[in-house]
Amino acid sequence: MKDKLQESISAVADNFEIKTMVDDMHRQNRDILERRLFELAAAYHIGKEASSVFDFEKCLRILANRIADLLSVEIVSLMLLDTDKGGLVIKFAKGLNDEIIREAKIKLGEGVAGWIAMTGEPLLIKDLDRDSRFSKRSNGRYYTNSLLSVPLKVRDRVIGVINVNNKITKEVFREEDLDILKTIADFAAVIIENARLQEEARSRDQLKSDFVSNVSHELRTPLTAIKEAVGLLLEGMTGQITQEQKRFLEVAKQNIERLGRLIDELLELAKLDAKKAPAKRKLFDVAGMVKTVASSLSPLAREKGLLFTSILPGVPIEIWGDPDKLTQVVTNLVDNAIKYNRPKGKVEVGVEEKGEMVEITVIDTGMGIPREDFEKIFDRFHRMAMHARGEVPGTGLGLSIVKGIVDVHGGQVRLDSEIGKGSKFSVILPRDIRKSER
Amino acid sequence: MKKRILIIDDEKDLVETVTFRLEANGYEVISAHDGFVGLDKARKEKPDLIILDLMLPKIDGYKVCRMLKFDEKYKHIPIIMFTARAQESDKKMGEETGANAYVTKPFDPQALLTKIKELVKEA
Repeated sequence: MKDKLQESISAVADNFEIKTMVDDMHRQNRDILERRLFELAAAYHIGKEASSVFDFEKCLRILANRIADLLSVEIVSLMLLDTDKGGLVIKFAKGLNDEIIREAKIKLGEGVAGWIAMTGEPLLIKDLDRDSRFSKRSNGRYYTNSLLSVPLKVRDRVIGVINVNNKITKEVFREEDLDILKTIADFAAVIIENARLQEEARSRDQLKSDFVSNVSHELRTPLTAIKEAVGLLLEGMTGQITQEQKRFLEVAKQNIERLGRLIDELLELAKLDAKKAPAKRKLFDVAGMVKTVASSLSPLAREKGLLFTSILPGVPIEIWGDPDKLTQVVTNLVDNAIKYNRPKGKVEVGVEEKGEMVEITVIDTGMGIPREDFEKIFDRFHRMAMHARGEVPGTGLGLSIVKGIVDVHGGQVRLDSEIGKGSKFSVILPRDIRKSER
Repeated sequence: MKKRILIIDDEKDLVETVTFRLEANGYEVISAHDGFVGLDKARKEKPDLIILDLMLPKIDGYKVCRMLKFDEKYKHIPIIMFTARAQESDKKMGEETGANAYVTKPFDPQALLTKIKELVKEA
């Protein structure tokens, strides 16, 4: 009887022990799960914040600062692989002075960071002195001999290394710290790579646009002198000129003007290339703007014997945009409709409100555009065969400017055309792009 | 008496053609090819109007304009900014330095003459 009791007691005790063990296991699992969730959430937030920044430097600064906060460390350095310099370079560091940042150039395989860049493996070292792979650190910058570094990898390719040092608590780094940093590094690598590519593209665009802008200036200066000189001769200010002389000076004058337009348009395109958002956006009445363009160009249409009609709403339609740039869009389209039309043809301009959008249409009765050219006509310097022969003056830049301006306003240009009948260009613009940009 | 115009521009060919046109329209014209000489002539010769290029050697057009416009003795002289740069920011800067008008190159000669006439009359 006594034995039985003993047995029962020990069975209960066993059960209890098992229960505690199971409980412990559950708790541990839960802890691990919770920690993992916390890491992921933290990494996600850091990633979200850093990826919302378009500036490369700023993006790195955010990453370094947040990593420092999350791991409670004083020193964070972000090293990136620089193929030109053949090694790792510190691109941003928190808690290190500028001299160290400048001087730190590490070859692949050299030191801790170099080892990580070469092997692609993270590294948590509790006591550097006891690790035979690396030489000791000499200076007194660090509290402990412990360090933590993880690779930044994009599609299995190492692009850099994150190093952290000096826990504020002066403790040694633990496995948990490594897990957090690894998770962040996964997000950070993609963000950094993305930001770098964007920065590269931006500076390339900027360079190109600066170049065109300088060239335009350098071209305009001599052109001005030529124009003025020809003008003086043509106006007879230097004495009487013959009809023949007058005729050729007119040719010169027209071509000077053509060159001037070309330079203006190139400059305009360069500005659009640099993706500079229109500087003077405001709310304005697009119906009124189209009306102004229509009335300024309708005399030209009538002069060419075309029937010009405009279909405008009786009320203003306000949109958010750059009035000058959008005026240029409509002017270019209407100008084309007049230029590329048949004798006694028609030009029709219209504006219509369509919910959150506005549609501006320009219809002509020209020769039409073949379907295979629909895309090409928006390319720079593309001119249709007939026009390229010089029968109709133009630079071949008008439509690419139209497209560029409409693009930066978040809109689109549509084209309908039938050979022999004519074309219809529709510009569809959001009424207030700020709503979607927010 | 003939009104006197000072052109400050480093493009000598342009200065020559503009000078010809202005003289033909009854103005007396003096010129300078850099900012330093231009400023000096503006102070010494007291022209009735100045046509001022922006990108000038030695002292740029903005500075020349500011130095004249912020000086009690010379601020009454009308200044036309004359430049190949047609960007909005440049225009704004020109206005901020106190220029009276802004003409971009290549320019319309008639428009330039009208502007000069207006400003000389005002002054």
